[in-house]
Amino acid sequence: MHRLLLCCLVLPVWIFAQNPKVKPTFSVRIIVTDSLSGLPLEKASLRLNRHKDIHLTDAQGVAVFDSLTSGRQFIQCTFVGYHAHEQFIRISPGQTIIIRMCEESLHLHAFELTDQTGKPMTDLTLQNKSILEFSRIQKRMGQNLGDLLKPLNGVTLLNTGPTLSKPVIRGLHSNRIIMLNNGVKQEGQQWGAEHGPEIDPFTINRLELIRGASSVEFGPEALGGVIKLSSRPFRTKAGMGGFVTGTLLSNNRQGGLSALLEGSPLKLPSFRWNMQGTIRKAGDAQTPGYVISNTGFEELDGNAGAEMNYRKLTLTGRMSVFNARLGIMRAAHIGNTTDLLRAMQASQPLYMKPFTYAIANPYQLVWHEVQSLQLRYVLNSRHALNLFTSRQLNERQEFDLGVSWNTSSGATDKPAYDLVLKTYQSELTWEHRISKSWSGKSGAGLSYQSNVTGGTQSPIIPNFIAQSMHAFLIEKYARGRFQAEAGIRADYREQTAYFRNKSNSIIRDYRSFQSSTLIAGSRYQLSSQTGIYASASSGWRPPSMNELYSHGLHNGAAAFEIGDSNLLREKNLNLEIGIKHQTNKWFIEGSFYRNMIYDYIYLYPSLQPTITLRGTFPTFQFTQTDALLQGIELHGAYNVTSHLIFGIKANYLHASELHTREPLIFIPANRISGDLNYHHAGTKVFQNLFFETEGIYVAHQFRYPVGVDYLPPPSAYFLLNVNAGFEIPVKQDAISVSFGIQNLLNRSYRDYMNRFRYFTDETGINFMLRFMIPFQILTVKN
Amino acid sequence: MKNYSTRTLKYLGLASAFLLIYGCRKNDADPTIPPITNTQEQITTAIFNGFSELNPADSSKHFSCTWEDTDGAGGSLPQIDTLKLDSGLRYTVMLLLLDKTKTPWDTISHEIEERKNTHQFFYTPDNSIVDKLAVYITDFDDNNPPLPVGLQLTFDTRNQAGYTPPALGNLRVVLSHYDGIPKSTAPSPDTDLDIVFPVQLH
Repeated sequence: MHRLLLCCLVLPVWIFAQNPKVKPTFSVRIIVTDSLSGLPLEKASLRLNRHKDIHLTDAQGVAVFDSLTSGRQFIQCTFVGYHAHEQFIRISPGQTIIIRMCEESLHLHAFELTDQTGKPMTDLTLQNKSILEFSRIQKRMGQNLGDLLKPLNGVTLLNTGPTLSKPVIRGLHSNRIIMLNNGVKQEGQQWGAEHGPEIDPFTINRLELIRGASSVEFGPEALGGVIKLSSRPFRTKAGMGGFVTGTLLSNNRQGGLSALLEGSPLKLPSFRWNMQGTIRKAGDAQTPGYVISNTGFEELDGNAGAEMNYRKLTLTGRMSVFNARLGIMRAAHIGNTTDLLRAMQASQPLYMKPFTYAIANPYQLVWHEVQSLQLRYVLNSRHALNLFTSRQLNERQEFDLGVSWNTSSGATDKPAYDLVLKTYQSELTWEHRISKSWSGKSGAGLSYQSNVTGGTQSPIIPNFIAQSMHAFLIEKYARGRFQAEAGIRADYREQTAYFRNKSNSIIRDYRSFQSSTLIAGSRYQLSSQTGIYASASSGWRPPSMNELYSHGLHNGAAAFEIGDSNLLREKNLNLEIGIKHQTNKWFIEGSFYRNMIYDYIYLYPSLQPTITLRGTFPTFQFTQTDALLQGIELHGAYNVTSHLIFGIKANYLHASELHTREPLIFIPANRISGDLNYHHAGTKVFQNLFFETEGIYVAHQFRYPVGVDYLPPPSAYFLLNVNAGFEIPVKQDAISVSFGIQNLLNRSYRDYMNRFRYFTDETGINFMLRFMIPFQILTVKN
Repeated sequence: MKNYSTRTLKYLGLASAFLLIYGCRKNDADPTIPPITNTQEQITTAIFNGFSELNPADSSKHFSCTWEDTDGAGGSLPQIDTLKLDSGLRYTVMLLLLDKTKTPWDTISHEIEERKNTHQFFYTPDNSIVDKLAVYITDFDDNNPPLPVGLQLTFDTRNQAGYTPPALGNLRVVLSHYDGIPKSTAPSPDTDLDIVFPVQLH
């Protein structure tokens, strides 16, 4: 433990040269060694900010810098497989400096506080989580963000047509889960089922899924879980480079291209920056039999970031813009229930055109920008402070078909709905390690949000201003085979909605919510191969604005929805137990969860239909009950040979109203999938060859409330996907290429979780080509 | 190599300035003052105006019958008149559609008349009066061959066989529009109007 600590402490040792000759030039000798073995490291690269060259160490781990002037120097040392070492030093003539480098596989980064198990202390929760790293993300890139999330066990998608999708974790979605993008809680109009996350999929370098309530760490709304996305870490090597990555998809003839440029100036090694631009364009998606008209999209995104170190301070700033125009399937835009029944009886959509890239009404125009600033101060190896602030602006414009009798009035050029949501968040956290066994994190924060509505139709949600504050504390205890954690958090939120009544005078509606949440969990390692864990956590969320105030026809759903401004907050209790077993041959993980949601908000059919000039509509009212979602998730893998892995995933979810035991509506069907992965080191030119094939069986959802939905859930389906790829090494980088086929059997099927399943089949066969070409513009040689 | 840092910084500065300008949209509307929604055109009112063909001057056989919902979907219940007709007559009828949320009122039926080639009304008396009230469309569009429109009608109540008035029933009025598909005599998948008038035959 002590050695580990020492090594991560970035400790230079000052030794005076044995025979200090008086030299005409001023020089310094630097020795680079492994922190644990003390053995010299050859060809480690060393930079000093006041010196123009980069030096490599010799076989003895020694490099000499001469013609130096005395004074402060920023020293940077990098070596493959080791953490980069950076430090300010004061150099005096003839000095020898020893740098002890920490090996990546053995230690965590010096700037990250670690606990006894070697895990970063910020990584507190013991809850069930899955991680997708960049190499896997690269291979999964497809239609949209959803394609990256789908392979995670417990995640399914809620779709609106073929291209709009949002994640569902253990049956919960929208305002019941949280998406964190580079530490910023994504704030769009996420209450809407047809509002997908506004995130450029090409920026995702790492994806982490935390299942179960995580409200203590991430705040309200994390009832189902949290999806954490992070973009590429900043470049630490001096120079400039980047990559170009792209995807081509056959089904909707989609092309996506993204370029990233990153660097760290030679003269200013403590400064790093990167920027990335993405363009994507797609036409109409196609089922095996027909074109799903007006489902194309176009997207133009950009982001930039910079990081600066000064002694123990790190300042990180990022900004990003997401900008998309998304076509909404024309045939799903229906006038009334008669149209809906007619559309459902038809074997294919009633509005079909030949394939086109053109996007006509109805469509969505989405703009999302984020600016964030993080100031991190590492006091010592035991304490670190973080100040994180961010601003988000989300503008969503939805364009309707307009009225059929007056297309020249320009009604279709003006959005029917125009929502501008601004969010400011700020949080101060303190990561600490009290002793060898105790570590924790505490913090407090504030947030402010405002929403402004516009458009030619009366808004679905009102204008509002919401403010909230919170404070939390999580402590973790780890000793030997045992780990435990406990946390507490208090939240206070107040919001005022502003809307107009029939006589156009302004009505204000003030609501406040407060809640405290708790988490407790533990993990015990039975043997080196088997561990068990159990956790109990609570969470909550305030009712969303549409649940409180919506009053109107839901486009495409042919339903009249009425909010209730007296709804209470939802609160949950999530219990989970699991086991993980890992040997050289086997990997098995199983978990059981039981998520009870009190005052669960849902749409209840009202007996009184709404009569309008467009016809009579079934009417739904937001109301509350207690719900129980429980399920089992299994994941197994078996190494058949060193090249071949067989994997299996299954999940079962049972959701019902707690008292009547009636099934809940729109709960994803149970599914099982099996995959076969073949890997080979490859030849000199083609390396890291892989071939994966995956079969997914989605069962029929037989548990649904009868007589509420227009159609019963569709039947079960089976899909087969394949994926293959290789890498071509070029200097120190590698070009990677992969090729995939989704829905290889070209099956026609419908999914229960697609809101447009009344109108169309899912997409048919889809050939995909992905590539990534790294490049170096400026590299520094010795 | 020498100018590397300055060059980098220059480009970086330029790029971030661009992103800042592009990335920070100005939007300073006050959330505490919600906008007054100037809703797009909608049909709030449908009126049948008719007279007896036998004697157009006989004002006792004139009728005007209204289906109205001026506050849009939901809200207060629509006002629905009963269509009261004398049996044994032929009526000449015009359908008038209005948007009363606009000042002055917008006459939607004129706009539909202008776009008659892509619109059609369908009139369906229910089973209890289907043999007692016949509805004929008397105006046609410019398609070849011409197809019915439905703003001008004839109500025929002369078939009195098999019943003694009064009779009660419903008349359903549907306005279809044809967007991207050719107009035909079958209703389209897009409905603009779908209302039901109670009918009384004396």
